[in-house]
Amino acid sequence: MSTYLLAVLVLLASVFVLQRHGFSGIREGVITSALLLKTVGKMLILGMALSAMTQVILPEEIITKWMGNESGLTGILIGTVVGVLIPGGPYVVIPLAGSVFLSGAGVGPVAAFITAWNTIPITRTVMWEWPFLGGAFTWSRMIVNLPFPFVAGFLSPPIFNLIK
Amino acid sequence: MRQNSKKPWWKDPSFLTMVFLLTLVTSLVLLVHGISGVIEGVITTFELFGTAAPALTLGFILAGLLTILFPPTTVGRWMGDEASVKGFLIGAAAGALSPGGPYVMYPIAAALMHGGAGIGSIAAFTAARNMFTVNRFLVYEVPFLGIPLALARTFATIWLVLVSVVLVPIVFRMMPRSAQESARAKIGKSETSDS
Repeated sequence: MSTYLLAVLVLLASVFVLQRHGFSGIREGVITSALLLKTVGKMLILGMALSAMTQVILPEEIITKWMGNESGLTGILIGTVVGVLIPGGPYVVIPLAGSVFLSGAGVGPVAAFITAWNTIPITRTVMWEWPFLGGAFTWSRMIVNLPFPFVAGFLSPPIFNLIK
Repeated sequence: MRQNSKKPWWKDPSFLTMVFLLTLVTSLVLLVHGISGVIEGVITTFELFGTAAPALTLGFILAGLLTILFPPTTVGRWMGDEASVKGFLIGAAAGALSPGGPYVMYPIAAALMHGGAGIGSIAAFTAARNMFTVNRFLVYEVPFLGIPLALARTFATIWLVLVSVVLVPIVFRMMPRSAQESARAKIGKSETSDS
């Protein structure tokens, strides 16, 4: 399903690029894609290997107990803390989130994990946001974003059940 | 602009961190489950790759095409507005559509802030980048999490962009005046040194 959706979107984007930039635009787009793949390819493969190994080492019972659908606030809290601490880009974090989900983690903890990594990550904040945007903005954003993983953790499961 | 790719890959801290983490977890697998556990992990890696490869390939092509349709410089120009509802909307749309990692996002945000864009617009831009980017959603979330989970998380958090737009400027104004001013001065420096 997701592959078909992506194929349609690629087709639409190609038509727009073709209209606005001609064939040279398409060629440039493909080159940009290849460069992007070259940049993150190694990390993506490492990320998938890490998520697969994590799936082997973390027994389903433990994930289900601590991060399962019944884990409530504890699961959301664990997801949030891991999301805050984990370094790396989406090529690492999202496959890992997917494998934890497959191993029995609940929708809430996984949503909290991804949202914490998105909104209040230590590494990216210290390495990028603070130097570029300064302490006043970074702190303001962090204070406002602090509850967001919990919001995601509590709101995602009912929406997931509706969609599913 | 700061670019991670200028660094040789073997000196890249994120690559080294990943290698370290993978070595650590693989060693644990070896200790707990022996060689059969490692083989199982390798097989699972290939299975994961096989499942995600078609969507990933299309996702990367889409990311490249989006970069052509919405280049970072154009995105920056759209957002160079003063604080207004239009500025917030453009900020959020720019955040959702702009491609690239933090090495693209933060220099753009810093340049905009230094150029006089409102804190609300910058908050909208960073919040949209953090909560929902078309690129990340299609390239990573849909293939690895599946559509229901990817959508559920997105719907649960997308409205928080609005919360950020309203609250971040309020909290920013509560910061000491000197911190606000030094933030802008710092932004000026980092923009000058990186552009």
